[in-house]
Amino acid sequence: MRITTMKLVALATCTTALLAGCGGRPETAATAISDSKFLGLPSMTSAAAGPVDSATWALYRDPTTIDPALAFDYPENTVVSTLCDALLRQQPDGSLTPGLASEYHFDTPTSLVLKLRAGVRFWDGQPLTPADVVFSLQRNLDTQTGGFYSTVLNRISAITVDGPDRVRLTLSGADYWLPGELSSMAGVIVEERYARGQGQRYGTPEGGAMCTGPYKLAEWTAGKSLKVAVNPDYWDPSLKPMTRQIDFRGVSNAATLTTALSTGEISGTYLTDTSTFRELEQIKNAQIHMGPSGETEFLIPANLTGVLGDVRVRKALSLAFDRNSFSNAVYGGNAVGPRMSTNPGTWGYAKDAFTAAWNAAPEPALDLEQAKQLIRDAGAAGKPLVIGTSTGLSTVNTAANAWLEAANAIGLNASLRNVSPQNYINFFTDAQAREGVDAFSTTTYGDYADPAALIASYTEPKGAQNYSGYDNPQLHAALERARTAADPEQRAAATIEADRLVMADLPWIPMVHPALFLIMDKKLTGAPSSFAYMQAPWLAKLGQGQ
Amino acid sequence: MRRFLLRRGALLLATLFIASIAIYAAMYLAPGDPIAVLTGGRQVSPEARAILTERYHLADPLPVRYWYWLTSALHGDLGYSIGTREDVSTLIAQRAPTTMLLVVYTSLIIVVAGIGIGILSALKPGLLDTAALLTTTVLAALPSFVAALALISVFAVKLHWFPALGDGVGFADQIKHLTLPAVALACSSLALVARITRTSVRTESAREHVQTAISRGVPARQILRKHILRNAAIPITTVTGLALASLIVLVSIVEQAFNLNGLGSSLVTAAQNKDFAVVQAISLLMVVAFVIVNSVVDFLYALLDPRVSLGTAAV
Repeated sequence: MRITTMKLVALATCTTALLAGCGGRPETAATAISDSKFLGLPSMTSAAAGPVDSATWALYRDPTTIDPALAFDYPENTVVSTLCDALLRQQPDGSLTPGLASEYHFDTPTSLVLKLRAGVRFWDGQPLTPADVVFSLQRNLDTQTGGFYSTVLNRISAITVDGPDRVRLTLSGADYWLPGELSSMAGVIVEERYARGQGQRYGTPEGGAMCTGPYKLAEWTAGKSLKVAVNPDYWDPSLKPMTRQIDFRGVSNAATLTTALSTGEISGTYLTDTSTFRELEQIKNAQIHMGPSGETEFLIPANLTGVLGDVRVRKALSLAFDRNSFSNAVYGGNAVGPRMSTNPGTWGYAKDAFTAAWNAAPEPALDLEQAKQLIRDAGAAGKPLVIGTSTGLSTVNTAANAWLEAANAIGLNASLRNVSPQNYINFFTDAQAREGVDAFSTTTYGDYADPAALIASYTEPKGAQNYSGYDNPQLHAALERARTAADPEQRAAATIEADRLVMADLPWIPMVHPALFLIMDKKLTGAPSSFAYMQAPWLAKLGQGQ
Repeated sequence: MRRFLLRRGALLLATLFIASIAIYAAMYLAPGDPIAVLTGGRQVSPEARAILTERYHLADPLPVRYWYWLTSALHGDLGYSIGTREDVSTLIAQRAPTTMLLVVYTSLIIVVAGIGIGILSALKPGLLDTAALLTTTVLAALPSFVAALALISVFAVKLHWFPALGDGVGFADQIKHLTLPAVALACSSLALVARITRTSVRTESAREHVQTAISRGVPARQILRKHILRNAAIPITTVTGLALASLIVLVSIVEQAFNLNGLGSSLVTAAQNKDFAVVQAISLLMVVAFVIVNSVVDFLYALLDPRVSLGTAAV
């Protein structure tokens, strides 16, 4: 679900950036990627030919925790996924398969039975037990943990051991989103004895971690590097690591990252800051791989009491936003306009149904005349629209200026409110900070490959990203039908209906769906070019190039 | 000497006390919310928020929080970093060696190259002097982050002589990793020291007693050491001291440009995250370093010039 990417750029953003062209936005129009090509992007790079000794993998900042209950952003998710397994596993194409639970089925719509895989051991040799599963899930539900996943597990009313290798989850209502959640951070299993022993230190440099994944934690010096080494006793032969050791390193500055990729000091990374896209394309020893992503960029109304409370104004803005220029400026043209509100990379099931719905939906048009008419109809001409931005966050700032231009072009009286990068985050957490601001932008994603995961987070009345108090009973009903539908096709149909309601009512205004960008040294291959790297140990496939 | 040390010690304590209040209050007043960092910009339930607020004492008024910090600090507990989830003392212990090595390395470059170029330039007018003047003019105007860019693009990207990021493992490797950062950091100060040295040496060379010594046939080496450098040393020491003291603050820019795991980059990150304990500890450490460098400079004055006596004029 939810999650807001805060790419807090250091004060010295432009230090090495001159080298790579600070704020080096490509100015010439790139060729926009076609929808059909975008929908067909591969989810894996070609398989590795052999093992390598080590690789240095960049994260956009240092991880602050490796506790799955507290992991909520790219650096933490990348590392935890490499070290740990969840009950279910997200495949690179987004589909769900068994993970630590070798079988799972709903006895009744309100009872999910998980059969644990035999022979799984934690790094310390202890076997995986139902008690570990109960503990890990309970931990997520416990507010004392200070974790993030209690809301997505909110239909679990009881977790019980149901035999030597079974755990039963009793639900307060049907919830077919739960398997998806159990394939993400919320379903990661840690060793009870170890985690209890460490208490609040679990997941810190001091407290370490104890999981079952293909890599184990080797060394962690906060701020310097986090090293993981092969777990020789890993239970899944198909994910036997090809790279013996991976050093994760936080590199906050896009230009420093670009330099380090070109000198070979960094072997690869999943890009979160595309401000040096052009320069990265020029690096001779590395290649950019594109794949299906779960991300979408949105303009978020901060409240529905101002000018954005009128759906005609939201529609007018969406019609006036120049998505092609934005995609060219930020993603080198490798993003598509939102026919539907969620990235095609999130279609983890019923792909045909989602594809058909996508193709049937109109491509978002740039139509200033219609937009101006809508503004006149709404009586909003000349009304103020304040857009929150931060010049220190390059994508946010590019988006804000594009929206400013769009809004003024159709007769609104738009202006920017610039705050520091570290204060931009307050728009998301603090209702007071949102006062006096009508909208702000973000890149966000869901935790598993289902468009509903993201839609629910900002349209459900209690959704973690519902900042404006948006409430649409029709949309809520459609999502509820999706959540309670056992049949994937029915679930997809209800989700598509919800998506159409989002596109009609625009509680958030989608800008573009970018591709996933993996950049890797040409000597390496095998890493997934899909958003599944955020939730499952697919980085274990990284190895020697052909 | 003892009096000098006592006075300086007292001065240091007073400075630390005032600085600790000023920094804490500034952090308190600065906008931002540490909980935002903890929750990644997500809306959290009121219960979860209350737990985090209590865990990090975020609801208490400023004097209470400051008192809480002060009493812990006096007991040797510098607190806990919200951002990195580790003890501040651990955080500092891990990062201080890199920063110290970088500062020492840079200082050596500034002192050896700066004073060396200055003396050569003063004593050898002509092509060498012109070249030195030109170079130091450019260097003096070069901010360290621009120098970092140029150095990375030439020596890391094009020539592959030095690494572009990280701080290395083991002494030799560390030196290799820290060379470009040290040079980037040294550039402008080095130029300043060289220019002052050149001017001072020139001035002293023109003085009557030096000319007299030359006419008496005193060996040039002896004149340089006893008559010129000795007297030129005071302004050189002043400007070198200032340059070195400012390094402690400038280091953060270079640490970020080279992705070094040092105190400076930690300070910037912590300030952005409103990570009180870290900002407080690192800032105070910088105050200590600043006061010590200045005391050493004053001590050197007394050594160099018998007219200056410790404990009186210098303090």
